[in-house]
Amino acid sequence: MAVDMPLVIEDLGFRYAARTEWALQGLSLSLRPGEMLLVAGASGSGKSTLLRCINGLIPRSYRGDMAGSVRVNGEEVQNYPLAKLAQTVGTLLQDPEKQILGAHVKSEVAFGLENLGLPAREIKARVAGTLARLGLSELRDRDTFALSGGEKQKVALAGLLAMEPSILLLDEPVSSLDAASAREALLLFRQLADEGKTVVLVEHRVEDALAARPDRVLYLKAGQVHYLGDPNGLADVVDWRQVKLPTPAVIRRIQVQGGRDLASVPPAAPTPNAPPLVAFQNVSFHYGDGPDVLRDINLEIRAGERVALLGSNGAGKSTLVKHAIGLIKPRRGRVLIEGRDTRDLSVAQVAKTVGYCFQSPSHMLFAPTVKEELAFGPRNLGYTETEAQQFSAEAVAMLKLVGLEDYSPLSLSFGQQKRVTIACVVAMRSKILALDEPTAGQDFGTYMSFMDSLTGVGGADDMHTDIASHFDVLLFITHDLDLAISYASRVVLLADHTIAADGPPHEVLRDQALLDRCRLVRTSLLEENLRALPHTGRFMRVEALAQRVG
Amino acid sequence: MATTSMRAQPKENLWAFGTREIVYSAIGAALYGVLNWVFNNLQLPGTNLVSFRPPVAIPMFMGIVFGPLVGFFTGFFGNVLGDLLSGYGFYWHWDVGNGLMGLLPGLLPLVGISLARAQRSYVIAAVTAIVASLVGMAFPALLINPFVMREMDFGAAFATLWLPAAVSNSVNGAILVPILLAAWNAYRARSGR
Amino acid sequence: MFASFQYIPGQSFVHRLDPRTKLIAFLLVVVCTIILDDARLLLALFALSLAYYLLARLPWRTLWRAWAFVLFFAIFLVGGFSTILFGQPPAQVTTLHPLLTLPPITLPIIGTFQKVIAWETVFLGFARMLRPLAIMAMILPFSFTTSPYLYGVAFRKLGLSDGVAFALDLAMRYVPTIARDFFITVDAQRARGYELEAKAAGIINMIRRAAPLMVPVTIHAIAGGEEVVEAMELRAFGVGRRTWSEADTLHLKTADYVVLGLAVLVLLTCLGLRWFTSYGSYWFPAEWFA
Repeated sequence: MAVDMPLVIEDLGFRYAARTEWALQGLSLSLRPGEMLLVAGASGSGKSTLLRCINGLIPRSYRGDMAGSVRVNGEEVQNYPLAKLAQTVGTLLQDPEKQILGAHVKSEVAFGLENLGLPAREIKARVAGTLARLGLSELRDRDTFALSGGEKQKVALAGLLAMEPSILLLDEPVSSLDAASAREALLLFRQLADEGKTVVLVEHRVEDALAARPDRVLYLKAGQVHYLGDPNGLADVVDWRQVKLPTPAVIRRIQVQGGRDLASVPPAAPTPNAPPLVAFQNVSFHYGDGPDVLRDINLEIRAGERVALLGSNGAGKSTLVKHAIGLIKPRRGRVLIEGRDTRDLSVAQVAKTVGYCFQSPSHMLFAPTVKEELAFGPRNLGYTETEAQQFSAEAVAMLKLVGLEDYSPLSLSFGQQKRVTIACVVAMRSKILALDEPTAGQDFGTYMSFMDSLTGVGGADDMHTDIASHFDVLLFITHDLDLAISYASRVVLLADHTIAADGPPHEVLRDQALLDRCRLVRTSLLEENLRALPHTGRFMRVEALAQRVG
Repeated sequence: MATTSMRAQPKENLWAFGTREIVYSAIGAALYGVLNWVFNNLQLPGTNLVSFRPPVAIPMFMGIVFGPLVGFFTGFFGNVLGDLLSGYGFYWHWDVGNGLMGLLPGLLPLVGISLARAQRSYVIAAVTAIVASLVGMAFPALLINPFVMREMDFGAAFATLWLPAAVSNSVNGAILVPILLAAWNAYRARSGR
Repeated sequence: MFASFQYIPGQSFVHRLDPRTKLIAFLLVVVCTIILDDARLLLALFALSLAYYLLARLPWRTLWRAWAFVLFFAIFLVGGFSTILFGQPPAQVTTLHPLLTLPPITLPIIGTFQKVIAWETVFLGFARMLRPLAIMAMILPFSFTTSPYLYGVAFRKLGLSDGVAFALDLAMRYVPTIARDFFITVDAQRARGYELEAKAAGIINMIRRAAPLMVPVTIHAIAGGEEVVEAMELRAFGVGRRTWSEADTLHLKTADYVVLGLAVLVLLTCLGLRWFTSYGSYWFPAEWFA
């Protein structure tokens, strides 16, 4: 075995204590300096376990049975002293919020070096050098809290690079970033590999990760190696419903294997003469004496629409939605909910029309049982106890939560919690279901089937009840272009605090200059749709597209 | 994500202050400080002289779940932070009193009580919260003020300082600590900790 | 609302002192207030503290709230209500000089009684209320002229362990994050019709109304704890003695030695007066009322 291979894994397996099945089994591979390995797979496929075996958390912090070996620079990871391991293997966690430990950028980057007890002078020199290399020097004295998502991720990376590791483990590092920041981060990872670092990049959205041009792909399934080899070969062996692959590859697969017929999904259209449920009239808003966060917004939403509110981070998406649910009143102009000005309505009264699900279930779930959680809204809205119980029971049935009524929502899985938050809106009998980043925190396969069940696509599957038909309008905030293409009948594109474009997806997303201005990156699904547009006349999701372009 | 749950958590010494205790102390203190600050500012109705302080449940809860030192740090430093955020001064003996409210519930294992998931444990948690309030507030109000700082006679300190604080904290703690504990137990059941 | 510490940057004499100096000077004055019972000396101590406070040039606009609170406590609760009105004179006092006699009050069960306010308790009350005032004048400059981000390194240099000192820094790191999460939760619950201002029947229901806010914020905050522990271990936290790379921003200068020397001198003076003279213990000028 060549000693100059920085990472050598032989027949690696691990089974967590008190579990019967192996989380990872029979994995062998070795990586050379400057090589980038992309690791893909659904949740629970063993990706995190692999990372823990390399960075030493297994077996130091996790108990269980370990088989095989992991050697870093020729030596067993288990035998490394922690201080040395930290200078050899750097791990970037998925959520920079968890990774960042310093209140200021400089203290965050210095953290690891301080722990190693290096002299203060050397620490300062290394911090300055690392920040300069990543182009972050002007952030040095900033509060980490006030950084954008992309900046946070880069600062977290700087904290690792300052320790000069030769191996970098990146655990879904771009999942919380908007497309442009994600692209930027991936190019940076490529650059680090080119400089000689060995990089292990975990990412289930393979299409996006390919921008980092990995040398090889490892696909894990239930703890086993399903594929290990050239990135181009991956598309032929994995399930495109579980892993996000480039659209041309998916289309090829569907055409070969056949897929469900989804062409029948009607493009939802508004009832043209119905009065708008929500109307923004020349709305502008700013906090305190600050600059405008929203400027001259005019928008009408009618029954029957499926609206994607698209824009990069900081474009004003969530401020706009807070106006629609009455949490914020406009500084200029007005917002009408079924004809009534939100200034004359309480938030509770608005909730009867617009129900809003915040991004993270953990920001709202509190009740001892699911039943109580669902009855909270109706009770606040002034419904009688009998009505509250009845609405709650209906919501349980609709969201397939039967049997979980008496469980604490906090004890449920993330996916179930997500359904509880939607059930909360169902129970309030709101006419509009508004969702903030409905796909956040879920892997590709899970969130696509979640969106299918929301929008009523795919009928035959047991999970897929048409939840959307219960609402007059479905509105979702997203920075994911493909989500808008696949599920929206109308796209409202927000840029620079105002509406840059508004219309059907194929009209709004055609304009490349506009996308650039909004920091949106063209995806392969968009490109294939644009290519097929002369035949199809509108944008469609990949399954439908595959049947049309064949 | 669920695999985080499999992290080994050896039953350690009650007085150990390792990385885990440092992290939960910091989170607890920040949480208690922020909640003190917002509840000071929300000024809910029906609260005049005695400030209405549901957040007192936080140090007690942290003490029960993460041990006496985390409870103490949460109560002590959280109270300091709350006063710093609100623009109040610094009242060291009341900060220590808040620390004791977090420390005492952390001592339950010493008397052989572990708050496992039985229903009965919520009654014990409520009683613990009351005892922690009465004793915790006794330190600044009945010991330091009348005997060390000598700002009031014992009787006056008892009536104007200890009684309002101890009663208000007891009621808030006895109601909210069991609620928080139930929520945490449910969360732990999910992640299998 | 945005969670910000009430730290006010500036270039005053007190701003430029080392945080450790400000803290030690404060502690020494606390000890002085504990030693003294003499209203004259407590007044002098308060005057010194106030001079120090004024050197910090803190804006009244921001500080009035802290002062309003301590003035209410000192004058109304400590001095007025619990000493002058309802307090007992010190044990060594044998005769009382009445100041005024309140009209008789009749209470059920207890019956009728008449309260006589004596000059002795007025002097006692005056001395007592000077204690919290002097302490406040010493601590406010520390709170408002010291960046909270220096607490960790300052307390480390005062001898606290790496772990406790780092916990202070880490708490600072989480304050804005948790405050943001709190306001997200407020918005999320309001979107479900929850109203902050709504009244509930009875004290128990009122307290339970805090649960929809407190439970999500608490669980959300501690749920990520294990990942943070891992993040720290992966970056070699706890492998040995840490370097505090910002430690060199703290060093004692001439001004620090002057302030510390003065504080020690004041303490020694108080001790000396208390032990070797009649100054320092309870003082009542009976001759004024002869």
